[in-house]
Amino acid sequence: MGARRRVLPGFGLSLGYTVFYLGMLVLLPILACFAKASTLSFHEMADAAWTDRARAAYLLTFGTSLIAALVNVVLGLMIAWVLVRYRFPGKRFVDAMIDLPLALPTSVGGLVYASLYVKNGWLGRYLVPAGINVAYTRLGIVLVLVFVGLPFVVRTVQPVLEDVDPEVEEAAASLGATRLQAFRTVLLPALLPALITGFALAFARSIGEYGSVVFISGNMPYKTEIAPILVVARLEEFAYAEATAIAVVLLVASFALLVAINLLERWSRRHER
Amino acid sequence: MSIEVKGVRKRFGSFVALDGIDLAVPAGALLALLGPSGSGKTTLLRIIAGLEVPDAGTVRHDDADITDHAARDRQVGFVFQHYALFRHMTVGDNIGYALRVRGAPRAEREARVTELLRLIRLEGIRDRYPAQLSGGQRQRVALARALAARPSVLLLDEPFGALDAKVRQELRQWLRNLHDEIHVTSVFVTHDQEEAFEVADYVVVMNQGKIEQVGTPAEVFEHPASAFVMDFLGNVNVFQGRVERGRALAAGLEVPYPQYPHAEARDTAVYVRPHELAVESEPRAESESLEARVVHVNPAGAVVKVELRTELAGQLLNAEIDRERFAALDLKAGDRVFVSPRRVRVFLPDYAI
Amino acid sequence: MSAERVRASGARQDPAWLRRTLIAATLLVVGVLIVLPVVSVFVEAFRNGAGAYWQHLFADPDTRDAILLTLTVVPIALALNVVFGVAAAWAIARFRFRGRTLLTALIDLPFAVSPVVAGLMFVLLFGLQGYFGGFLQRDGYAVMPYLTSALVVVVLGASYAFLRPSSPKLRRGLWAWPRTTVLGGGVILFAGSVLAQRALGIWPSGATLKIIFATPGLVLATAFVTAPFVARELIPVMEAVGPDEELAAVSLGASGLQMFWHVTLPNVKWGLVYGVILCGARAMGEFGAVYVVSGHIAGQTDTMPLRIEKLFQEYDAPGAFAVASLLTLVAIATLLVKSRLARELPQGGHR
Repeated sequence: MGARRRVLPGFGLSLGYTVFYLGMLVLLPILACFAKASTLSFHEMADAAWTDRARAAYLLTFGTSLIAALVNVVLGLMIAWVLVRYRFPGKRFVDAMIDLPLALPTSVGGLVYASLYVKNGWLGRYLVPAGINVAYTRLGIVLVLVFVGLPFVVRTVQPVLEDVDPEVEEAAASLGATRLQAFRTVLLPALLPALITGFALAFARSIGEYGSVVFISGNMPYKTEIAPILVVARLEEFAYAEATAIAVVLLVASFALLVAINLLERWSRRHER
Repeated sequence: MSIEVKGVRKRFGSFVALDGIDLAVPAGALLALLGPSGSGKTTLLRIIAGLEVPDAGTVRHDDADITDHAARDRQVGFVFQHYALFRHMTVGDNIGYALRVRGAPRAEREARVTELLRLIRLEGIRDRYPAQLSGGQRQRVALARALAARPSVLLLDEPFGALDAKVRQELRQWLRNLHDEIHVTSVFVTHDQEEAFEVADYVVVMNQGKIEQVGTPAEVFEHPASAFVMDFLGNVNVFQGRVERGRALAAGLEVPYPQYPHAEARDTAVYVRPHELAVESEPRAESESLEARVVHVNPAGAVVKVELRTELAGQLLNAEIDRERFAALDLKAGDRVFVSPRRVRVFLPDYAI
Repeated sequence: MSAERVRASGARQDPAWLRRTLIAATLLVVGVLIVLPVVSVFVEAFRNGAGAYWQHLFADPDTRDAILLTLTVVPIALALNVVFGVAAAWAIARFRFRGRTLLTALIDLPFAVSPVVAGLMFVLLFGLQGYFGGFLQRDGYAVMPYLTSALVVVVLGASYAFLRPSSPKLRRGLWAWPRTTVLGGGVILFAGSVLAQRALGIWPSGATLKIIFATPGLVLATAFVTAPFVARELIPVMEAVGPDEELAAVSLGASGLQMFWHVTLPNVKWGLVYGVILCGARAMGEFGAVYVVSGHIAGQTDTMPLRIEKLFQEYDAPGAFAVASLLTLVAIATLLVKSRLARELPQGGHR
């Protein structure tokens, strides 16, 4: 064996297999994607990835994802707070249901949301006459993205909130802080790293989301066509180069987010100790 | 089986855990590795067990070089600090595990488990799970599990570290008796000098990855080899002073020190153990005793502990006197007394004349 | 004074009106966003009665085929990811090595890739216009002798590494020369197996091996998207359990396999079970990546989620909801298992 022997068995085998599997299944395809993109000249790339339609799609993707992630931060903080601090009937049920969007196939989510909010759907029959159109609009996209991203914020904030030392709040109160002051000055800073991480996770998930959006958005170019849908549209026209160019833009954006999330986690871990 | 460690080095990143260790453990001995945390004692024990791989050096059992042998082939019983009992196996299955992986027939295994449960005096708990046991019981089960395959060497990492004081005391004596009964070469790690002296045949004092001293408890206690050992073995009074012409001078006192006969004076720290500090109510001779005031008296214990402050330098001293002497002196806080060392120790590290 | 009442009820107690408002808002959000949609799936599916529901599921041959295809693709992808997850968790949770942080981040990489883009990548590799497309089209099966032979060599090499005695004194014969044995034996075995397969003509020559628009592509895309799940569940559990019991097993004389079966697996089994179930649920529901590589050939490459979309496009809502109800049941089962396992999974350092 090599110069350094390990006490527990299986190091070479497990690491070798891990690297091999990741290399074949994950890295090789990603490499293929970038290789394909690199065969395009800068102009071809710009022509493919920077058309009016593509730009509208990016704007829509990032805009709706941003709004949905922000909504999730507010809702997620509230739900985490209620689940950690209060006791009420059905709490365990609510807690369990939070994970549903992670386990439910996105196509089912999209299907249900589309049928709930159309003109004669369960909710649409009240909302549409009131002038609120959800199905086949940007509002619908935001709504399914909120659904998809909700667990990320709740599940990152919840454990941090559980770990907050009760004495910190009591100390703030004994020093004369009102409840609101204590929340703003003592709790919120402690929760901030978790909130940001949850926001980034929800945002990252939303950017790539396809299955649920395709049902509810109506996929109208310039209006409700998000970037992943545009990729599929190009593919169906057998325009592989254009599809790849848009895909690379999405890839770079999500890699940047992945790096940001990792840095955030490292940063918040340093703040814990 | 004897153990011989030669030139063993180990570093973790930039931290040097072991810096060239040579150690021989005679067959059948019970040896304690004693040192503060970070001294490398646990790392050395794990290297002997094969649970850590040394960067350099060799480990031998009798005459066989086993440095490259895996832990499973070393015939070593290891007792982990936190026991590492298999949490999903019963006590019986835990103890029988070494025989199970060696393919021993069931009947033999069961018989050995019964025998070991009797040895650790826990016959009734065979079908319990580790989570249902007390700390002391887990400790003994871990020991029985390590002994099951009749190892030629028994290694214990802080065996009493996680137990409360009373159980600790019991288990120490029990381990001593057990060793007298089965006579397997044993090494255990501890940071508690009292524990090391009470249980072991030999004590190895370690500091910063090096061995400071090896010897029987009496040797180590009576003749500490270095300032570190002296310090580590318990509370000690330190004076700044010097040695010359067979005398040690400290805090205005002069004590014979024949080990240094040279004319050249050397500055050094002078160590006096609390029980080697004589306390008197009257001065003996002007040059020999030091005037001090009693600060605090702690009469609870076999000896009376007296805290003093010297009049001249204001230095705090600890003295231990027996109860009869204490009764005769009738000491209380604020009393004026005279102290003189009966014996001093001086360590000159680069002493080479 | 209300301020006094607040203080009297403790520094961490919110006033009753706030508590009630927040609880009501939470119930409303969770109710509208999550519970209502789940309920509506079943209501819509059973709108025309249980008989019609049954008809929608099993009388339609395309739906039936979609269910069967999902039940073929998911177990294969799951098996691949379980082996990978266990290997990755063992390497990362039990050893320190250079590049460990990078490897941990790489495992999460599929999460960051949009499923649609993941599908596109496989099209670029194996599609007709792709890097290997032409070759697969012309004589795709020509790779099979090499693939199977490589698999044989890897499996035998791994068994050699596993069975090799750990002590030098026991290494005799072939055990004494690991490099020569593995390299030499590997080359001979590989060449022999390739030549034998070619001579025997096991694989058709000049035939097209379909990956995209066929089951292998679906498996690859599904495996890619769900690759991190098992590893991500196992790593924290393994780290929380710690290596002491495994070290104890090894020092008591257990071999690598014995240690794995007797100690490692029982200690992480609940984490593994949850990882497998979550991975399986996600694999069944995977849509975007599969959508791109499937080609939507009804009865052949439509999985359950794709079938839902197709039925939805064909305005067959009850049919779509019938299929959706099956997938929803899987999701609910996943949640039930998780809330059960929450008690079994170690929450950190307790021994």
